[in-house]
Amino acid sequence: MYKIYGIRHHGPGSTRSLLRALEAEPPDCLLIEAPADAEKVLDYALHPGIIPPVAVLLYDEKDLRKASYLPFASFSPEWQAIQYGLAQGIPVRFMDLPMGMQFQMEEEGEQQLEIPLPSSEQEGPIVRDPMGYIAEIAGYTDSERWWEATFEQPDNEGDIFLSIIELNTALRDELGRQETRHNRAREAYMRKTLRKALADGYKKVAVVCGAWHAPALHLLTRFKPKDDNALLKGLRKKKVAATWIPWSYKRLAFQSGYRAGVISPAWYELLFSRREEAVQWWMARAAGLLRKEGFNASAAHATEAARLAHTLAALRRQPVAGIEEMKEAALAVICNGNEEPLQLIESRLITGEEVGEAPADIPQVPLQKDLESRIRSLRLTKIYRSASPEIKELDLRKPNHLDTSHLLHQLNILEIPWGAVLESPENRLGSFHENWRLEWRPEFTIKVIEAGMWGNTVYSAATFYIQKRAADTSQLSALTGLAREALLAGITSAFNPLVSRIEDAASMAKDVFYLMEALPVLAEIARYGDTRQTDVESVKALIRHITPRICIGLPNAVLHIEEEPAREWLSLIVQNNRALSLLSQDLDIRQWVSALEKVARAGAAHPLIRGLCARMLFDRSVHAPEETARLMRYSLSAADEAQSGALWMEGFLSGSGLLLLHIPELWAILDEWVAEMPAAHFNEVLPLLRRAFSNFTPPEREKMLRMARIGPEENTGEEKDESAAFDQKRAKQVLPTVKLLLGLE
Amino acid sequence: MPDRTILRPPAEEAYAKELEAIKAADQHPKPPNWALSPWAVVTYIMGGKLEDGAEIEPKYYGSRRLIEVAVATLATDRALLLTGIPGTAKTWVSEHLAAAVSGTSRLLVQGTAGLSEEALRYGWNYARLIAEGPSEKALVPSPVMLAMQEGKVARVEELTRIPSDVQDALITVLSEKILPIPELNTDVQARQGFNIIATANDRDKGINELSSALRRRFNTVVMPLPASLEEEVTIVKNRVAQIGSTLELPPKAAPIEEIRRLVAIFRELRSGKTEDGKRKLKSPSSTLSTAEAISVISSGQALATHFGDGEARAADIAGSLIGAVIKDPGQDKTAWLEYLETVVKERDGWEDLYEACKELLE
Repeated sequence: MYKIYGIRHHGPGSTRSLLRALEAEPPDCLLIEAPADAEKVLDYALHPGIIPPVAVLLYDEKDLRKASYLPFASFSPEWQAIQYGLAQGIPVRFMDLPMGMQFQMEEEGEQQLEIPLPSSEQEGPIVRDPMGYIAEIAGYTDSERWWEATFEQPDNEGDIFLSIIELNTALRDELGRQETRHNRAREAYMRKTLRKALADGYKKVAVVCGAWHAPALHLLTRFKPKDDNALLKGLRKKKVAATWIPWSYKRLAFQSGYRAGVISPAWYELLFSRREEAVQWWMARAAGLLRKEGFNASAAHATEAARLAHTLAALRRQPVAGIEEMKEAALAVICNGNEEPLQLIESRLITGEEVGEAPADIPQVPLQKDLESRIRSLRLTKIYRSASPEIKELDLRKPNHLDTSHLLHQLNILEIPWGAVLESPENRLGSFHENWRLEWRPEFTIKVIEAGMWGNTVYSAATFYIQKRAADTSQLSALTGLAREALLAGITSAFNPLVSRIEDAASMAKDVFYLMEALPVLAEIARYGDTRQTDVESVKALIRHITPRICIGLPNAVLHIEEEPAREWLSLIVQNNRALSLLSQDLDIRQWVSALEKVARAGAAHPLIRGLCARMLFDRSVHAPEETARLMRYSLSAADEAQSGALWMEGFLSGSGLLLLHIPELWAILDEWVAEMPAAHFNEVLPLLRRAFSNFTPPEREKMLRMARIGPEENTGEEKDESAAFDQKRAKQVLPTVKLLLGLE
Repeated sequence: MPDRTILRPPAEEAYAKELEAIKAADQHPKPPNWALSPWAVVTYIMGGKLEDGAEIEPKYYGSRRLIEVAVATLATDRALLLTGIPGTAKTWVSEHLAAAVSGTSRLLVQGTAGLSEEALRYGWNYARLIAEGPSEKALVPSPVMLAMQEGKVARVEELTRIPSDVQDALITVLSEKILPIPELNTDVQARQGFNIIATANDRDKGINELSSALRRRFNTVVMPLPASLEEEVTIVKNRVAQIGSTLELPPKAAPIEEIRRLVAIFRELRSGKTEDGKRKLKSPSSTLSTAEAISVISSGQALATHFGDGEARAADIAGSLIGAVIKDPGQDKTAWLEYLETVVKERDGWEDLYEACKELLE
């Protein structure tokens, strides 16, 4: 004898009915729809360290990209059935087609799928959740509510599971759908397992399977063992490893993996554990979450909202309030009809934030093992196990610290953000120090296992993944970013292929803007890469290719542009100028200087940029002060609009205004310009000038103010006074070091 | 038989037949002192067909769920607050809800800035008060007090216009369901079925925000603008026909094309973009609600009846249309002119409207 219990995956109503039925008719053997090769980790389900939501991860040890998840929540019928069976001490068997065979089928091209799962998309909603489909036909948006209304009424005396079989038999006959080969093979295997259990002499076999499959198992005699064997013939079994991993409600909520997703795991949990007062709990939680967000939501609000939800359900002639009613009630009572607060807490309220736990002493994926062994060898275990964030300072000259840095960067590449660097990203490559903020969150475990598809060690996975990301993009800035990440993570093997990808992308790049975006990063890599023991010769070669193209393109790129893009160019030119200065030993920068020269004299270039270039030429001593003064006078001449003069000044003074103090001639020109400006123009340019001057340091500004008040001549006298006021004693202390630096000793 | 000379009979009289038919067909359990069951109230508002074939006219075109929330609120004896921008049928819905739930929509307090507490609690017949001293006979009950005594629904219109200190007189009434009369050392205790439906406008200037103590006594339902062009055209068409009949305008209905065009203009100006979403428009400061569309059409109809050939055309509508759009002579006028020149002028078949509007503006 056997009995088929067709269930809704993750349906709390199913679970309740199933448990009731099992209590009423205790079976002596339990068959559950789950891949047979997951059975080897079945016993861990009773492990005290395992807390749902959890999932069985099945993966091909040789090819980690083939992996499948089998998630369970505490309210999943399968989970409760397993718990029941193991607690009763009766044999519990998994009866679905082994994942090893399913991987094999997929490999043979039976199904063109990326993820080798008994794929939700292909089967369509009906097979995945036939009860949901029927509920939809019956006009319910929430299939759990339909279940409640149909099967859970007190006056419902009939055998629920018998009606489910009938319902699905009718549905399958009616649809007359040709099952996929994959599905037929699965059902054949399930029947085979069932026959075996019966042959083993069990008298009361209970079969827990998705409702869709119920008829195919119930009408066992309709199928001949011979046909079933023929369906399974030729299916070889791949070796598959299985382990338990923590899962989360968030992942359960979107349709991922082996089974149908659930819209609202948090609500389902309440429906399962506190069915009688689920609405009250839900409202109390909503009010609590809203309070945390700073809204006015009292317990009285929650009470009223729960009452409204009940009344609404009654008005709509529903036995219990559903998500819709509760949302509407919360909206009207707690949120004053205002949707925003509710949206703010929606994911926490509807989906829930629960993360499960899987104990450490059960088999793990290789990547996880590798990660944990590296954590141990780097003595990070304490931080890894800590629940609160910790700060870790690294000195990259110490090998151990360098390895830690590499590990954290590698994890970041794999999108496992265990650590975040605290300093600003500027200058990161140049420093020997790194400050990390480390916080391990449980959901990272899933990411580690997911990242397992890229490799068996953190290093190889990061290498593979960064190469994949590089292959997916041809954007120059993205690629240089990746190269930088690879360098930080110490992934040397990925570095050179990346550089050649950048080389390709750079030669394709038509816009000098992108080249200029890339150059500062590349320069940084070239300059500081050797502190991280990386071969950067190829990067230097790349820079030598890019620089001439930038120098040729720049003068034309900045002609006739608006102020907004001009500001972007401004910062790019500043960065590039700094980058090229860094590399001046390896590079001939004359071309860059002549490009700056062209821009500075191009009438059509934006005044902001012209000013900047004039300044750079002065800084590089290409222009003598007289020449700079000439340029300045030219740019500020009255024929031009006052505004463009002010912009020129802003560009020219960007960074520092010191040279106005040191070169009286420049000061005089500026003074003259401001003095001669008509009042109307002055008002117009005042904000611009203010901006230009506001970046200077307070002492600089103070000096300028004094100069403006008394004129530059007297000021030079004052400068002399200041030089006389040097503290001779302190100045002398510097001399030995200076001598040492200049090689005089 | 309702008095024919009454300009606008209250809902319970205008729809007396429907209410009776629903009452007869109503099998569902009724909350104490309710004239109809919650289910029947929703049916009355949303319209439908009864089992005996009687047709119920829809009073509200919009989300059924919204009305269900409103009715369920009244059934939980929480007060109901309908908010939304002007012209979203707040008052209309509140009147029909009151009529359906307690059989009368006339226990009404009109909220104004000058409202005193007496209007919400009770006043005195001063002649009697002076002659006889304080007694129950000298007491003049407010609609709210009457509703409490009779177990009916009172309506408070424009709740947010009432000064805050006066608003708060409602707190005890709503939470304790009791109205103390200290002068007589007695009180009025509300009977089952008592409730309050308030309407409030969240767009206007010079409103008094509800105190959070009072707000907590209300469930809030925000009345939305009609979701689609079709829905809005239906509303305007039906309401215009109803108004037309009370004003004794000839039965020749306003042409549906004219209504559709007007509603399209209103929707476009309101949302600041053309219906196809391709062009951005300036929005005038006026509300341009469905209620205003209704009044534009019915005044156009009246114009056509008395001065034209009886059929409302572009020229009849243009006048009140401009009046509805241009509330602020400066900025609204620019918005309207731009709309006229860039959208109306270029639409096929809208030449008549363009000409009519141009003529009026010059």
